[in-house]
Amino acid sequence: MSVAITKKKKNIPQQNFHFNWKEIKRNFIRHRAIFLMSIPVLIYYLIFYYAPMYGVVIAFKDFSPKLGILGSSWAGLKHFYDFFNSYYFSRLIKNTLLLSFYSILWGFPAPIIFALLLNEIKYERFKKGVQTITYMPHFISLVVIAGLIKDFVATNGIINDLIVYLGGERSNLLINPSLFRTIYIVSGIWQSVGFNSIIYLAAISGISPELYEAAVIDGAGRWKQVLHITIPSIAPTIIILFILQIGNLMNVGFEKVLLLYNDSILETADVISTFVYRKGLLEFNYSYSAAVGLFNSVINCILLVAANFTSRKISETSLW
Amino acid sequence: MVVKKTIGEKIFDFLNILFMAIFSFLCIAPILHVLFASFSDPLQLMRNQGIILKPLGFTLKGYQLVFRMPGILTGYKNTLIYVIGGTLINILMTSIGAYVLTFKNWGYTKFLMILVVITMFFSGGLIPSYLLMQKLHLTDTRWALLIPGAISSWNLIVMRTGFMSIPASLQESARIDGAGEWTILFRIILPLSKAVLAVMTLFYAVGHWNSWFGAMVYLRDRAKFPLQLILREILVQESQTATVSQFSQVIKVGELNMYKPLIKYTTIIIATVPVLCFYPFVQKYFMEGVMVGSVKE
Amino acid sequence: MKKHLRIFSLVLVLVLTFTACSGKKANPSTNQKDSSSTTAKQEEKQTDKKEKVKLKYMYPLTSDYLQVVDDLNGSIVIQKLSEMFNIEFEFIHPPTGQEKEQFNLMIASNELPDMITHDFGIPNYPGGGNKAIADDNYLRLNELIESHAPNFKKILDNDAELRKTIITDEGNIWGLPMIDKEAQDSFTGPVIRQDWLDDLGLKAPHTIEEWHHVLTQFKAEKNATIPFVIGSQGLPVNDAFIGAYGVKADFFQVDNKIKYGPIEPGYKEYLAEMNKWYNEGLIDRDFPTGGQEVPYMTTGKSGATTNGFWVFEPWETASEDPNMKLVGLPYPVLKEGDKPHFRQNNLRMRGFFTSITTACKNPERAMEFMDYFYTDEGFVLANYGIEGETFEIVDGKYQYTDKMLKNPEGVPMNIALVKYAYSHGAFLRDWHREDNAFPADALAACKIWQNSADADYMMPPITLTAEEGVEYSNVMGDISTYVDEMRLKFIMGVEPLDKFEDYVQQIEKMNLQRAIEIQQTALDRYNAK
Repeated sequence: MSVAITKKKKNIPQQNFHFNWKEIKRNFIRHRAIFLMSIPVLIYYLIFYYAPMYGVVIAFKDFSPKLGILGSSWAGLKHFYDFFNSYYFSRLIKNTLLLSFYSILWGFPAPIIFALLLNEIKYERFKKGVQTITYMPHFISLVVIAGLIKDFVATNGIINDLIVYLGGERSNLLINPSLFRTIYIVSGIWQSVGFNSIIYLAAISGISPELYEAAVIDGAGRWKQVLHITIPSIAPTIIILFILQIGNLMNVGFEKVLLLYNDSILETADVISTFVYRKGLLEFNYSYSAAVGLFNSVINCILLVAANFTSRKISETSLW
Repeated sequence: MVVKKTIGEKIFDFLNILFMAIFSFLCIAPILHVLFASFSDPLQLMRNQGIILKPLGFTLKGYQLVFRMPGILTGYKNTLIYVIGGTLINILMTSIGAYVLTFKNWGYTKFLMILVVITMFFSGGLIPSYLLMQKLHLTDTRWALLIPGAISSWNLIVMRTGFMSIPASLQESARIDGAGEWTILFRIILPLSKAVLAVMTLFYAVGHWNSWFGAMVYLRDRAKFPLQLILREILVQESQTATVSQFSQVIKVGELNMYKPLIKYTTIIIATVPVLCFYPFVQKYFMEGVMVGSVKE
Repeated sequence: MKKHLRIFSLVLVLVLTFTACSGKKANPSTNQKDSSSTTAKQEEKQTDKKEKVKLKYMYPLTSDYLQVVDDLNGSIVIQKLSEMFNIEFEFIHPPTGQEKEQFNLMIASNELPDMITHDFGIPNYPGGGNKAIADDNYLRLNELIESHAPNFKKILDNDAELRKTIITDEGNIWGLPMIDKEAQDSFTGPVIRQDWLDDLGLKAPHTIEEWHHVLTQFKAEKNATIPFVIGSQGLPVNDAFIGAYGVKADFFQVDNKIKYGPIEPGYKEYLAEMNKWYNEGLIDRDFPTGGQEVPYMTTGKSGATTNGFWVFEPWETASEDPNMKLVGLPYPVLKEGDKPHFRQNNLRMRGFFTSITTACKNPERAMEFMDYFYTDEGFVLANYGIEGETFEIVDGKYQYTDKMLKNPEGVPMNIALVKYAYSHGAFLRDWHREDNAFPADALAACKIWQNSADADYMMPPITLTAEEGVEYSNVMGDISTYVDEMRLKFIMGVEPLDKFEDYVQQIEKMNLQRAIEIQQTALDRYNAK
């Protein structure tokens, strides 16, 4: 096993970049074409992403619209302290991380499995129809989705009918703190599995049929084909998306949580973004929400670097 | 390729199809709910609880009311401009960027990748971006919706992953034959990446279709507003309660109040149906990707 | 090069004087056409002495209103006043729902318009009006009012309480608000199905005990599974019911001393009663998830709620039961003869503060324009439009014509107001102007609500300074989350009420005292005005 890893390592070209003018010049002459090609993209990134980035300092300031971002007075780490000292800080972090973690645990493999299952269906019309339909919930307004979820889990809702049929007792599932994550995640999978599987279906469609033909000749059954051809072929896509997903762990959007939660289940449902949202209603504090956002981004960034590092160690695929 | 199925495979196929059929029903139900609700009698709709799987009465009043709102038709036109123009710019810029990032022989790929990844986490926020656009004289122009989002870093990375699945030997042999980088990108890479391109087109186009935030920030002239911003105004307004602020209230009564839920559903239908119809066009290219792929080697 | 410039500027001056002359000539001729009426003569006088000014005006106009007009220049009131004061308005109507972002960007990028009307989405200046003056963004209007707004000044001078709500703690005036000619009656309160009361031969409940009895009867006899709609927060609207216990679920004041309701003994009694109702199934088992009021009321699942007078007619129309009849009931009390100290309370000041910014080059003209809305003529024009066109005087009362009531645009009257009169903004309002749109017993409900309770424990509109605001929200952000969460737990019985003392101690530990101090300071400042 260790042999294999070192072998892989050798295949990756060493990418040590340092700003040595001579080298840059030599590089430029050798790779003139690619340099020129990168210019529009580089300029785009510098202007539209990096030029406004001085705005992150807003998290360390007491922002006043009149004085502007650079003119506002420094607040140091005040906004961070305010956030860390909040009575609910640990609960918010815990809820956010758990919700995200379970979302990835169940929600990340779902579209992959879905794409693989769909790929096994040989009736083209049916397959296309299923794809087209399952992609729809992604586009329905969250307000409607949340309204339907509430109806389904209400005391008189369809899910309770099922529970009673199976011998359980009626209760509203959305006032039970221990069920919030399940409801959030299951509905999330239902909403997005079709849409998210598109990227995997596209990757699957890029696999050369010759590989399968060869496998059939070797006597591989369908299960073996999936295991030894389909999954390895789309593995780079899976890994890259997984790394990106890990780098998104702290971002739980507030809209759906806000639409689903109520004061009786805050102990599991309250996450960082809803907390900041509620605070935003009380006041008008740009700097505070920027500080929380920055805190999230830093953690996300660390997680992504770690995920990328790990992935580079155990597979050939990584972002850089 | 006719292979006889084993019993296990047959059972699997049956269960698979059954599962897909049930799941499809679960996915289409809310669409039907919204669709039927948008045609329903407002009074019955008002008292309704739960999912609607057949129209409650029939009326086109919701559509009449929504299409009476100003700017819906120009909104459609504007959105079309943003979707088509924006997606073209997106695909062009993102392919160039993704191609540059697949190039491994120079020392800068890692540096550039990190440059890209950073932008996924840190941004200056709304105000610096607005001031930048103001300096570039792009505010209140259509360009403000086309240019700033030209590349999404996430999509860039996904597209690069797609490009990297093409065997490097193809590029190398083209280079040896004297092909320039642009030729390689447009003649070799892109034609072989139709499936990825289709996905990217879908993601970007859907993004443009659904976007309203940029328009809200950068546009003042209502004649340039995209559909989603106008529909959002309607939705937000319909969900507002009668008491708007503590001391000021103007009560919204009568017709509009009664038609509130109807207008909500109609608006959602108008906003989503076109984008739902978009998918089958893209789907075609997944299949094509297979055929091209089979020819290539 | 210089020579060219000189010639060019000469030509420019010539052109300008020529157009200015022709402009002057053109004006009287247009005025002559309708010089028959007296107002036209006034206009003539004013246009003679004033040259045209342009004003950029940020004004909230949601998409409802945009069905009727392209922008506020479509209002006949604005058209008339534009002419009268020779002002050309350029309106900015930010997208509905995104007003806050646009407002902030506008300040941050220093693109101030000349005038701004707040509310209906457009937020107050961050840190308050006083901060806006200190930041040199808004003009201090005190002097301008003194010199150019005699009518507004008169209203202010005649009502000391009103004045307090308009002037900042520092004595500045940063905007002119909508003012009701007389304060509007309370417009929310308990609502019940009269037809059910009649069927069961019950008298209208007043005390909490009577309410309990009536709701129990509704459940038993009328098959109402959820007799009373309580709202997702476990609080009926505008302190009804909880007010009977002498508290509300927030800050209030008794003889100018601040109290925080959720730690008072009365609050505990309220929770105990609601817990009983919850256990007996008088309120929804699912109430925290909220949002089901309309279907519950219109399908006979519920028979009572708290809401506003505008729901009566739509709900009765939508109801499955054609006999459904809603009435407003007095705010409940603990025992007969009590009078609650809380209710929905309307001040004469109704928000919509309209400010003049430092970007405005003609603040005097802007002020004169605004002042007109507080004159007697302006009052009639803004509320009722033009006599013979949009209103007639019948028996000494203003009556809208069909142009308003059955307007060609086919929109409800209160939307049509934006075109044929003035719907919202800084003006003197007659709230009775919308009476036409409501049935008589809905309006009668307002009288009942208004008279059944006093509002003497309610907080006046105090303002916090920017520093106080930050500290206050840091403290109260956590406390109100805790209080809201615990209220539901107590009502639903998840937490037993013997834990109430621990709960109070926890709130104290979260530094409630500091929040009370801040509120007290602000209240004292307000009273000292």
